[in-house]
Formats: sequence, structure tokens, C-alpha cells
Amino acid sequence: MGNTVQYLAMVQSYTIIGISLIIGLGAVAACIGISLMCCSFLNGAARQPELIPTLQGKVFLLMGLIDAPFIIGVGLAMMFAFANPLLAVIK
Amino acid sequence: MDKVTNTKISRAFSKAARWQIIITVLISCVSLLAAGMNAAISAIAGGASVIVGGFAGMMMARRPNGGTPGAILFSMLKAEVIRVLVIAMLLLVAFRYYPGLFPLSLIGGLAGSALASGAGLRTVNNENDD
Repeated sequence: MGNTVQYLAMVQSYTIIGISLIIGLGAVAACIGISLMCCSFLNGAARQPELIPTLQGKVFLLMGLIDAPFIIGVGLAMMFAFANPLLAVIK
Repeated sequence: MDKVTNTKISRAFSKAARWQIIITVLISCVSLLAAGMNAAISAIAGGASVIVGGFAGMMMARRPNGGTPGAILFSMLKAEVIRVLVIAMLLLVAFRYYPGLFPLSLIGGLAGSALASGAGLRTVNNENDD
């Protein structure tokens, strides 16, 4: 009984660290990607202002693509937070 | 923001949403065959959260801005924040209030739908070729 509680606490604490890493590293990567793309957008808009409407649509879509891994990571983190499959091994 | 830009953003989103719906339905059918009705509903919940979030982001991106590159960029970043928040809220609701949730199917629908959002790029490129 005592060992089980200890294992449960250990799994939960490591899960919290894993969730933090998933969300934190994903957010950092998405921020780097979006900042690089915004930099390129500003460069392109300064060089050829007539292309701004075309570039705007691409920026909107590419932001979604760059954020996709982060959103998937958020979904995985929620799975570990609300329905942790690792706890089933101990129970 | 002029009408042409709004039309381009809407068209790109609708093309992307079409692919997102197709892929979500495919994943849902596979989940239905593999794990039953709850898995299929979970996959639809995951895909729908991305589609609804993208729609909210598009409505935000279509709002009028100054027309300068900086204002456009700020508007796009606001749209992205709204999109991520709506998706996170919908996922939270699904995890919290759906007792028969099948997490792997939800993640599958979410991932397929999020990655399919790049399909709209093809539309924008085709319009440039014309």
C-alpha cells in the first residue's frame, strides 16, 4: 500500500515535469518559427508593398502550420493531465 | 483591409477547412472501426476544435486594420492568440466533460486536422499562378 502511494506520487510528479517540458519547449519553438516568418514578412513588405495582400494570406496559413506541433503538444499534455495512461500500470 | 485581401483569406481558410473536415471524418471512420463509437466521437471532437479555432482566428484576421505591415502583423498575431486559446478551451472542455473520451483518437483527429491546415497554401499558390 505504502509503496503504491509512493509510486503514484512519483509518476504524477514526473508527469508534471513532462507536461511542463512539452508545453514550454513547444511554445519556444513556435515563437522562434513565428518570429522568423514575421521577420521575412516585414522584409518582403518593405521591398515590395504591392505584394502585401498576397503575403498576408500566406502568413495566416503558415502561422497555423507553425503552431500545429505546439497545439498537438497541448493536446498530448492534456491527455497526460486528465487521463494519464501511466497511472493505469500501477493501479 | 480591402475586400480582395478578405476574400483571399476566406478562400484559403475554406479550402483548408475542407481538407480538415475530410481528414477528420477519415480518422473518425478508422476510429469507429477500430475502437467503437466513443472513439469516433472523440476524433470528431479533436478535429472540430481545430476547425472552430481556425474559424475564430479567421474572423479576427478579417477585422479592419491600418494597412501598414506592422498593423497587419499585429492583427495576425492577435488572430493566432485567439485561435490557440479557442482550441485549448475546447480541448479542455472535451477532456473535462466527456466521460467516454478516447484520448488517442482525440489526439489523432487533432493532429490530422492541425497538419491539414497547410492545404490552404496550395490555393494561395494557385491563385498567384493565374
